[in-house]
Amino acid sequence: MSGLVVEAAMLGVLTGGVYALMASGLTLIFGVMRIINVGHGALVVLGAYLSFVLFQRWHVDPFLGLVVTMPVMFGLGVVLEIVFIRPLRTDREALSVLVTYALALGIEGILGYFFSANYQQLSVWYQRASFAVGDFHIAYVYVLGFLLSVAFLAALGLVLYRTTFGAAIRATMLNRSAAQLVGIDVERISAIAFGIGMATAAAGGVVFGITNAFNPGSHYDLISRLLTVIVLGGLGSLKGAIVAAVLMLVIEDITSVLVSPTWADFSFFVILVLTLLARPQGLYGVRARAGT
Amino acid sequence: MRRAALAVAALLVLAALLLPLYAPDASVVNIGVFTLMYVGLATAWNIAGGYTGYISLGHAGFFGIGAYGLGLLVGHLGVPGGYGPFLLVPVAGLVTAAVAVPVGWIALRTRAATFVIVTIAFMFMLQILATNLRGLTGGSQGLGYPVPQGWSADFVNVPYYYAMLVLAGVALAASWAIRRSRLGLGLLAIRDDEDRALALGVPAWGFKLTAFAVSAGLVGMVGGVYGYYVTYVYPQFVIDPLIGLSMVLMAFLGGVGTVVGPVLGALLLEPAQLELAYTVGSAKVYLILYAAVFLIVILLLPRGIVPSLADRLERRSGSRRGRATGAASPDGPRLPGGARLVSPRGERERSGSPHPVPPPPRGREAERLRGPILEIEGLARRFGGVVAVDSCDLSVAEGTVTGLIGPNGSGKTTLFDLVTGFQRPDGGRVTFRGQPITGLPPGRIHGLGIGRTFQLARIFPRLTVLENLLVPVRRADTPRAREMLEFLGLSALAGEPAGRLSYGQRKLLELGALMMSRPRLVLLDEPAGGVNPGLLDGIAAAVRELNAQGVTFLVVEHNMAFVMGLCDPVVVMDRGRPIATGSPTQVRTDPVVLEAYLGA
Repeated sequence: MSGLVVEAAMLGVLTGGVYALMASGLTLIFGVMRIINVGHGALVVLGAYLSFVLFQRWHVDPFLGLVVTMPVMFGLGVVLEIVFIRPLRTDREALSVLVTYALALGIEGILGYFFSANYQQLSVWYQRASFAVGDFHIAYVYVLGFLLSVAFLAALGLVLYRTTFGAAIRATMLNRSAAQLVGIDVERISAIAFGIGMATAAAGGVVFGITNAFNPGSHYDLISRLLTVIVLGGLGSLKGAIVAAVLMLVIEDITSVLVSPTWADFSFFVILVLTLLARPQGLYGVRARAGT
Repeated sequence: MRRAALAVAALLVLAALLLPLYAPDASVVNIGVFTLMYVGLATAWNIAGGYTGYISLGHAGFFGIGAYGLGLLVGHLGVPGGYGPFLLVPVAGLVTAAVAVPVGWIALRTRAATFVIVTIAFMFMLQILATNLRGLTGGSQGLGYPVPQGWSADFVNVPYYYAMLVLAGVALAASWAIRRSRLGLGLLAIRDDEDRALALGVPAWGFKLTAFAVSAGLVGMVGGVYGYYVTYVYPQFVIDPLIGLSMVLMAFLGGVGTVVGPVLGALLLEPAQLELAYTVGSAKVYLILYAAVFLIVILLLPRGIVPSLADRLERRSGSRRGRATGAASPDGPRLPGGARLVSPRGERERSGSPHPVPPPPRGREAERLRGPILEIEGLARRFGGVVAVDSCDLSVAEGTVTGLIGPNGSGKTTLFDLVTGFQRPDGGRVTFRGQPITGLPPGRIHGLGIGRTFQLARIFPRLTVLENLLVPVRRADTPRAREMLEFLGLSALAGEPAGRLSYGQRKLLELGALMMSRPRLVLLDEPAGGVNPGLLDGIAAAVRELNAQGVTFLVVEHNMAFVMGLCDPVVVMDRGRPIATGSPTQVRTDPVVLEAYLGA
């Protein structure tokens, strides 16, 4: 039994890394633009389908295909931001939730139109290949996905903390109007942040598509998890998103072993409720000061 | 105009009552059932999401609780199909409202974005519960209702139709009553500026929770009738994110936060939706169209049909009245001739208070004669390494207009925040009229008689000017509010949304709203900042007038001419503590003060 738990914990860390990547895009978008992108899950599913098309039609390996899908998704993100988010002037935080929810439904509808509701999976040759660590077997895919996520997160960290452009993004996250005052084009930063978020969704989509069967409706499940992750971590906190993603996936996988797989999902929300009772601002969130 | 609206409403009600009698077949009644269902849902959602601005996307969860709740009740009590289950619908509503209290308890601790996410999470949690608790809910096999016996195929939809009609009426009545009550005004104030609503003593927490529970209970009742109507309840079909989203969309289309908006939204969208689902057939195309309508509504009509239409109508009639209105709204109070002012003192006399406040002595004489109304001892507040307020001692004498000046960053606003409960001190004590108030929440402190204004005038922009004054009090105080408007010179603007006022007018309105609850001590944070010089005298006169009637003021201000003309004594702060106190002349010549300001 304890062996199973350890194995579940290891798997949780690996998949948690992938969720960390997807959630980092979501929390980055919130940090920069103060909006919740409820369409993030649908965009991950879209990323999975893009990789699926490349893979089925032209036998492009999904991981290699990221060279194509990430820039495409980045561009799509920029366009979506300009067309649908930027025009929102009043009540952005609330209205953006509705707009991105509608985008999610639109994407679900379009994917359903082209691909039907049947479940698909990216059936690469290494899908089931695994290697042994002591008594356990770990699938290569998870390790690959984890390493990929760590690499992208590191790259994101480098951009944010080591470049002037990254400083501009962080400045916008801290105080949008102050950033504007010192000459930062916050509209441009917002579009690019949305694009980066979409690119992380594309990368997440590949790993998601290899390790899960998915259909156009899969985004509900995904988004409820991703949103829970970023609330737990503290909205707008990258560090929080990463810690929360790993924490939650580990707990979910252990619950799956100890209790039952049908209750694994539920553990997610239980953690959310407990966290909110103790710290409404999440693990790394800053509590909004009243009166400012 | 008003009569026309009433006539339309009466016609609609009549049509709704008669529809089943003249419907060509059961499918038309079916459309009616679903349309009325959404009238009820959108209206109920609006009571929580529209009035408070706390957008819940998880109301489908309450819909599900109602549907499962009624099914379980009917099953356990062995109620046969027929009219019996309808009688249990209110019970299902109560159960749902009871569940909503703890859910709201947790969710309403968070604001805006987090709140939305928590409601979504709650809905998915319920979906998992409904699927997993097979013993109770039947899991994915569904939960069955008894089938009514002996209702003909033509008649079978009719009872559900009238049940939905009754619920829609109940929801509408509740929404209307709440909008006109103190609760509704408080909810709208929370939507516009929750912190200020708290500062004015609105019990925000209780109000939000009440609205949330009422809204959930109504949705639960509708869910119950729906469950009975479809006879089988499945987790993913009743706890369906799309149901939750549809109520929101309809409320937004018609006009979120208005009473009739959600009704209009449902009447327009639901029949179209049913027709579309029927003709398009493909669920996927349906989704795309649904998303498109949603995006168009939010992007092009973010405020909804009703408010946009009202605006247009008003502009048309307003252009005729325009000039008169402009002339009747001077940019400031008619002062110093504020003879008609309803003063705090006047009110107290009228209400038979045994202690009418005598005209207070002025200046330092007052300090000598009366005790301090506010005493601050050793108060401290640190932000990380920065000490904003540093073991500060300060005492404000009753009946004075005490000035508080000091260089930027000397801790003046933080001191206000600490006194009024917006921030908790790291140490020290605050005493108001001999009573310790350190660390009390803003609403309590307001209730004890301390009011404050904010550096950037804070009003409730979407409430009317008159409603702004009523937020801290009761509807019954409307006459007094009108007199206050008269005093402030804002009478002509009483019915306008406060968001249309000029900056100076907003400052006056903010002060007026504060005065409505008759505070003993008012903290003004930069009353002159950013105000058109022509209005400065008006603000100073208003302060003097109120002071003459017994209100003590503590004024933070950078405009020296304003401070020196209005305040006595003046306290100078530097680096988080007072460094000098005295008359304006004394302070002006004090070398310590000069050094702090000029950094000599």
